[in-house]
Amino acid sequence: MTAEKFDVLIIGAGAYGLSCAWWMAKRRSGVRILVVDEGEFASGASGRNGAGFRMQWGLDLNIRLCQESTSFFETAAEQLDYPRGIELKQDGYLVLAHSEKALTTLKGSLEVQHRYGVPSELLSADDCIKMVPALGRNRLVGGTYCGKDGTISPFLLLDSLLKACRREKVDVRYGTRVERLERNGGGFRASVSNGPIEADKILLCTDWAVPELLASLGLSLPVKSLPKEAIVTVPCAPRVKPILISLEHHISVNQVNRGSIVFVVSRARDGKEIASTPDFLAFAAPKIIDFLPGVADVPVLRTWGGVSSLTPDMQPILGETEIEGLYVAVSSFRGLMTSPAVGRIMSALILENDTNDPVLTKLSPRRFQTGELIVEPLLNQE
Amino acid sequence: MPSEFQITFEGRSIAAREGQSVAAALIAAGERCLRIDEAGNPKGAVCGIGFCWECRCSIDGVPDIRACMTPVRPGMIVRRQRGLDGCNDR
Amino acid sequence: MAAAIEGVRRGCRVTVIDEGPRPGGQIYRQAHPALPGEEFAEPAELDRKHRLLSAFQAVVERIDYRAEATVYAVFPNGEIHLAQGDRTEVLRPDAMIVATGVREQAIPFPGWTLPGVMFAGGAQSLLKAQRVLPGRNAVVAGCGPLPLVVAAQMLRAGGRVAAVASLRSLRTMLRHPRSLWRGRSILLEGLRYERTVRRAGVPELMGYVPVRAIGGERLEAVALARVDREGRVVPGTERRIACDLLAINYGFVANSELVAMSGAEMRRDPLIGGWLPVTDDYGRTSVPGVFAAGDGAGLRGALVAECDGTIVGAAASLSPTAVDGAALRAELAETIARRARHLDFQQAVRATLRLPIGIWRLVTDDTIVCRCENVHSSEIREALESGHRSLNALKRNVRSGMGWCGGRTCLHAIASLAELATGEAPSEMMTPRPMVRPVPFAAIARQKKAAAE
Repeated sequence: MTAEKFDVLIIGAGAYGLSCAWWMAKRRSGVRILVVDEGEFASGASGRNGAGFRMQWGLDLNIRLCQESTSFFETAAEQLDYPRGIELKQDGYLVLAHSEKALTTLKGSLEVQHRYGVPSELLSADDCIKMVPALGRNRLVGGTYCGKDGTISPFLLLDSLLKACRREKVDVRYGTRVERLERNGGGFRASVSNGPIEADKILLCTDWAVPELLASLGLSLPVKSLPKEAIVTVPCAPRVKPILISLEHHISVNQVNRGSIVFVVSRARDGKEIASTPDFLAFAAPKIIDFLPGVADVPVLRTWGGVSSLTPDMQPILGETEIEGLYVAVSSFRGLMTSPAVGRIMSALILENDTNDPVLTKLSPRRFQTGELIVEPLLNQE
Repeated sequence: MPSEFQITFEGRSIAAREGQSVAAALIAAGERCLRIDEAGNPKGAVCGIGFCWECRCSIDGVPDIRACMTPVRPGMIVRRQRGLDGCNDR
Repeated sequence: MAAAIEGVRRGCRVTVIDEGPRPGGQIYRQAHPALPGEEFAEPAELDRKHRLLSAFQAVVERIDYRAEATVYAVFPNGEIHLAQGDRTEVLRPDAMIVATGVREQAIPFPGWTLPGVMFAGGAQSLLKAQRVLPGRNAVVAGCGPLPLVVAAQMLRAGGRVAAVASLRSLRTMLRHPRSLWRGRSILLEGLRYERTVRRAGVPELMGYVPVRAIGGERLEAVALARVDREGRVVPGTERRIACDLLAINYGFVANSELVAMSGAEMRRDPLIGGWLPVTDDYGRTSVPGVFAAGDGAGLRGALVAECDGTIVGAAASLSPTAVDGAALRAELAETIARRARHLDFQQAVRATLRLPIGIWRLVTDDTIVCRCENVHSSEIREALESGHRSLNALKRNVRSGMGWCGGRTCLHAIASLAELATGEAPSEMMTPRPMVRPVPFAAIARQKKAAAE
């Protein structure tokens, strides 16, 4: 069977895949790009997250990726020609410390943020409670707040990217699984159920599943799956305006427009399933009540799960692998909020071999060989 | 519990009998609109057996209680919720 | 109830978890003892009800009977999570029988969300268990026997019924003479209900369906029109009838969310309840230890359900390795035969429940389909046209199924609309997840774990 041929094959149509595709199509017209995804629209991690974006990080590279991405979100409707908009809400993120150690981490991160002009500020415990009266006072010592952080609708972002890609003649196919990759002359050949696909370059955007396809080419990367679960309450009266993150409880809280409150609760465990686990609710409920006593009597409506990616230093992996023309973009559980910047950086790398962005040096897949790992301090992970 | 007593709905006194559901007492009194949803649509009891949640009201200050599944009590105060208003009481 | 009685008979430790305050479920719903008045059902039906309730009452001291308790989740590892009062509990039984029955189905139409439009069975439960007339002047519309029964009971209770609109005449059942003969006693009950309606002079509009509900803050009138065999509205047949209650029923959907959540293999049959667990004659699902009985395993009516309960209760009482098909069949021969007889009659009834796919055109673009999230039919159509076909994909795109009722009121309609638009109904149900009922954090935090094995 004759193979279809493309310049670039992107595997994975989440935020990273679609963003990279759009940036590439915009950068050079006429590039033949195919994006494939084994699932349905928004069925992966991009459709299963807290929907938030924050510039409040401790490492410069994370701050910069999110800063650039935040600017993009602010003008996404125009840039993607999507009049409906992506439901951008910038009511801030409030990151909370329940110990002196956590507060010290916050203060250190604040300094780095200020160096890059992030409009974040330190708040006392009283200030935090004034901002969100539902917060528990128990052990709370303070927090940091940035009013430009916020949320978008992941579905509308993906929809706008999908439509923009198709307008730029990018071919996007769902329900299409790549079984295996092989080298094919100077390029690659992907085995897909309804026929092989040949491409000069391949970009893997399958996040935690990246190692599966790398294995077929004899490569490996230390990426593990990171399952996370979330709780959605019934709609209730507004009581949480900013997104809340508790470094101690490893919980993020987002009260959406319709009034439901979404709690993403992180819990260290293995697995690749999105199914809700039996002990999750009993695990999460006491923590949630301790963190936010004001919601104790609010009924839980639904639980859901998602799987993101975990790397040894908890940082994304962006760049070219040891095989020329084979690229990866792994999000390390901050895919949505870095997708615009990652799209731009990867498009420059893949189409023009532009390796200038410092992010690429620090987040290269090859860094695991040198063993130089720097961990991001402002992590909301267990 | 006395066999007949009063409850109030939106300030109006409604006759109720021990053993009735809130929805039954209200419907018997001629009330139909139990709630106004976020889009402004009037809503009332639909399924009668507790799966549709359309009949939810604020009862004695607690929001989102299904009128069709809740027995009346003397002096009960039932209020309509308007959108998310009336859900403040939690 | 039948399953519990059988379980006790066979020496099992039985726990019954029921959302209601008293036994009886929907068909045999009991009024609170303090409420005066009577039911307007046929004496034979009341006899069956009292007999079963008495038999259950006779064993209730020997079982762990939890009233007003709700199972909000089950898991493939065999755990059952329930909420009772202000706390929750986890159980780990050797066997679980899901007998959660069915709920009613409607075909949405413009105005159907007005207060005063109710499911016919819901209106009936107000009459039956609350001793309250659900409306002063009713129109009853639907398919199958239920609308006629509800109309008759309302009349007997002193209410006024302005019209009964049946999609198909019950004479359709005559095409199954042998089935009718098997169920002749039930048929007689049905004929007596029909006589009540006829004698009251209530117009029976054959082939008519509601096309619009009219009113401001509540229902004031309904517009009915006739549809042809393909379900298309016949022009010029519309007529408007004033009413303060429109009681509708266009079939039933199984409450199969819990059994699906346990990991059981499911299949779809719109005529007998939509998504159902795949079961054998003994109610076994594809998950060892998980059984389904009654209408929740396939709409078959109360008489079949009672026999089914006994049979499944017997099967569940035996340890998984000890289910000897031949021995069980011999022991339960009489009940199995009775179940088959009652099931035979159901074939005739099913003929009246068939909906032509074209009837879903009544759901116009401006009709609200997902009531909880106010999703209009036009949004669903647009999502289908964009290529989103599964119920999960539609949910992600237009939010249908994400509200308080978890899709119980709308998903069957969305599946039918998808079938109408694309020729194919979604093959999978929306992924079942906790919670089957909303439960507050505080109750979850007060959780009693399963006793250690």
